[in-house]
Amino acid sequence: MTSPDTVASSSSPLDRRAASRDLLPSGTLHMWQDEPLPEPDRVFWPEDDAEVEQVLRAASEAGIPVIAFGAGSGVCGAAAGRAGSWVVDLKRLDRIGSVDPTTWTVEVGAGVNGQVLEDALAAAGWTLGHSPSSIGCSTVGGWIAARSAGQFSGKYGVVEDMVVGVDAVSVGQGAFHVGVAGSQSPSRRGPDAWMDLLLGSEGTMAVITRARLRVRPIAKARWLRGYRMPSVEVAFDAMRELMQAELWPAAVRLYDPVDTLIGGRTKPKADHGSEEDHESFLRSWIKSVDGIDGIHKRSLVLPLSLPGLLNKVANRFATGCLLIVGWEGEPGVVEAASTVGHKLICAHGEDLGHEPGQRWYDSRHAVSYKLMPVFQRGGFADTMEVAARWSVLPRTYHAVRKAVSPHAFVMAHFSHVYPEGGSIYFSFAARGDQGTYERVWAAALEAVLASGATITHHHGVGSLKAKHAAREVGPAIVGWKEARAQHDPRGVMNPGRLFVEGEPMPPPSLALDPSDGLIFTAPGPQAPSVQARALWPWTHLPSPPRWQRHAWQTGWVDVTGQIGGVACALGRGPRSATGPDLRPTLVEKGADLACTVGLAVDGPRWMGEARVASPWAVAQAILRADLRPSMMGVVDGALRIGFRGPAAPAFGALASAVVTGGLTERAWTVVPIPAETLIPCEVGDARVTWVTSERAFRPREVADV
Amino acid sequence: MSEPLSTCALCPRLCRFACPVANGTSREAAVPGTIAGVLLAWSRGTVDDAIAREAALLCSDCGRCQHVCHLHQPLPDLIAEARATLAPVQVAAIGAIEGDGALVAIETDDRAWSAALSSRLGEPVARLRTPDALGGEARRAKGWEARLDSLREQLKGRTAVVAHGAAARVLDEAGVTWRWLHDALGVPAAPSCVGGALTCCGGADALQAGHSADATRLASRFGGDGVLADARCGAHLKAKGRVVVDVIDQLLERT
Repeated sequence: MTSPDTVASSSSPLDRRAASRDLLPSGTLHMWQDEPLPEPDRVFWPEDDAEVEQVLRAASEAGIPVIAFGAGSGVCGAAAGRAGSWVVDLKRLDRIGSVDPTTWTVEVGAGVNGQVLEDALAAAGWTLGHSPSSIGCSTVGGWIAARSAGQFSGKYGVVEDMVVGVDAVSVGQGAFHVGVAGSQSPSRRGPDAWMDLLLGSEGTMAVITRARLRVRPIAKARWLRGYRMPSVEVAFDAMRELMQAELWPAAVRLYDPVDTLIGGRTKPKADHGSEEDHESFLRSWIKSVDGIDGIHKRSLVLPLSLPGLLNKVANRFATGCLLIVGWEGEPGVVEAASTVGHKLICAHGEDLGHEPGQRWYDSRHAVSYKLMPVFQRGGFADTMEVAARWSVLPRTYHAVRKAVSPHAFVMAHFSHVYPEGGSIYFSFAARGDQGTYERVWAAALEAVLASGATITHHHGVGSLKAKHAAREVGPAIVGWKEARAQHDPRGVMNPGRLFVEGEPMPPPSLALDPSDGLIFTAPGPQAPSVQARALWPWTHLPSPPRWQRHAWQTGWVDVTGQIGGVACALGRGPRSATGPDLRPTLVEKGADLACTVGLAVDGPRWMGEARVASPWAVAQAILRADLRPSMMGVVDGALRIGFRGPAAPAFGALASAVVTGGLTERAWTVVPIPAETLIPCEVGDARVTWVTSERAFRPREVADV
Repeated sequence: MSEPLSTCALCPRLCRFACPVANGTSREAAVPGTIAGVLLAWSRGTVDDAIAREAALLCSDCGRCQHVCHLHQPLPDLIAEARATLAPVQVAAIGAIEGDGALVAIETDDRAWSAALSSRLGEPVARLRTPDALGGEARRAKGWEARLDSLREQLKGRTAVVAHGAAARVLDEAGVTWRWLHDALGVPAAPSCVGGALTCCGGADALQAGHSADATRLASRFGGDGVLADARCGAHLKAKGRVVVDVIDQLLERT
């Protein structure tokens, strides 16, 4: 039998109690109401991969459930306490390596706190660019395990876009690495396919111990602005046009009319400057009503007891929405993009100036402070983030509000947008017990799935969404099951979370609307006719592994087919965090396959060409200058760089300035992007066929095998 | 204590990144919000004294959680208040300032450094000897306000010079004028030692008493370039077998 006794651990009542809860609001409700929470038997603090493996093996041999724990900031219950379990607390895996200035990457332990990491990077002039509101209370390992997304995802991507390599430990496979190896990585390399399965696995297969992450120099310029939009629908049009114009804002945030009213954010420009503008409606309500004798601490009891009426009243008085848009990066790029973007948005709404944007930026991590007063005053609060393509978003938004309104006060904002769609972040507040809580969630998740959206964009699944996650992925769950059998043969890793199979649900219809910015194709080699229309002209699908793509390049979006005669639709939006990415499983095991990819919309095009000594090195310099070419490649020895959208000529001029002798404008052509897995190499290598900001790549050769 | 304490107990532990003890030990139990949750339950009678005492003693009273909190929750005070009940300590009365001078050296151990400071600065420096670092461990205990009044009275019109994080926090609370010894000498502090408006490396006296393994782990994390500004940290590191020179050692050796 393997003994874990040499690993630091505690079975003290205090440490067991401390590990009994993550931030799943129902757990907070239990804690607040003095109800007992399930406590683990023992908490371990391993300091390296070997100690992690020691604990996992001992647990597996004894049949003891294991919960990997970072900072416990998850709100879906993936790290919630479990009676009789062992908790593997990863916070001693806290090494932050030096930034490699050649590859623009850094090696980081899974237990490193997000804010500690960002502070360390900032001290050296770098940033990860990952800025979830939980940054101060979450860890790198948790971000990866639950597929986090930060507030500047438009520029830096979501967390899986930042990951170029991961180290992990499992019972079945021991210590291994996938993707790009680092200085601390175990020597054993896992198949590339494991990367998609580890990201989002929420501790159900292996324990992530370390990651190599992309970093960028700290932005030299930042541009933020607010707009008053007449309705959510009009704002959707503006956001869609902005993203499909390839202007790549770092942040785009829309608050629906009720969220705008509650937050006290949107006032016509003339009203700005008074002190009450800076106090939310909710806080000023609580402050004024708490002052009445006998009401203190119960000020929300009555309104939250009548959610239907409260929703009607709020809808009656709420008019207009606040849209925040921001760019950051190199000054020239920020100016070019924001100039065009500002004009585009002003065609739909009223300019409120820089102040609302700056106000949001200054308080961007403060959102989590808003939930405590609701619990303290007799209610509970929770949030749900989902995603859908553009044509589905309005349907999902209205369906969820309608489904939840009888049970809870509901509002929403939209914090992540892509050329192919966006996310919706619902906030609920209600009064009641666990039964009320569960009714709210059941109504909300049923409405999401029925509308055709994915049930999670960046909070993960945990126990809260596990049944609906299984319904969403349908028969493709077999990919996760097979991987789990390889890594966790006795099923001790976080059982009962991520996927809990139940009643099946037919997938939604995939008919496309022109606004979606998507086109149908199929896995396999991509025809020139598809490449000519596609946002990213991959040579074939699936697209290459993430560490070989730019952070902003999407591969396929939806993938549909059937496994064993059971229909399956995965994706359901520009990004889904419903567990691991099982789209490759569907393609591997399925039949009647189809998929969608982003569509390049009509509009201006600009392409330049240069014959330079080291064309791929120049291409990388253009990427490191913060530019995002729509086309990039070397054709007949000449570098070709192309941009689409209304800012294309301005971006072209900026790119030209990077090239010695400049780029010569030429006719637009499609330059296919290699999709096969390539080998990292020096940027000056004559065999280079692709570069990212971080590295150069060449085709695999016989000698490499 | 319940409204502010419940805010911290319900908070998503947003200050955890700033807590030297939580980061140093990796214990979830040491996270300020977790301590608040335990003390809230104790105040409601659902957690026993032993667990609450252990939680309250995990706080090193550095004040950084309050400093980074958007709501400026006074959690260090609330923990100190609970600790005064759960683990009362006896501290000596504040002594009298010895000597004349606009500067007053707050001497917290057996090293007498006021004369050396006077020699270095070329001006008279008085001293206040306080082996219990102005009694910071008894914050919020009975008689605490009288202690602060005594400090205010004695230091009126003078500037205290301090090399001890816990003493600095007491001076801060008393609202008297004070400065760090390393600042007075113009030497850089080790990055791990000083940061933010309230400064303390998390020397964690309480940890030394109750959690030797945690104290050792904390000791292994602090140090680096620059002089150790906080004598408490220096004493802590020395107790754990590390060779360190703190700002007082440096002053005495160079004078």
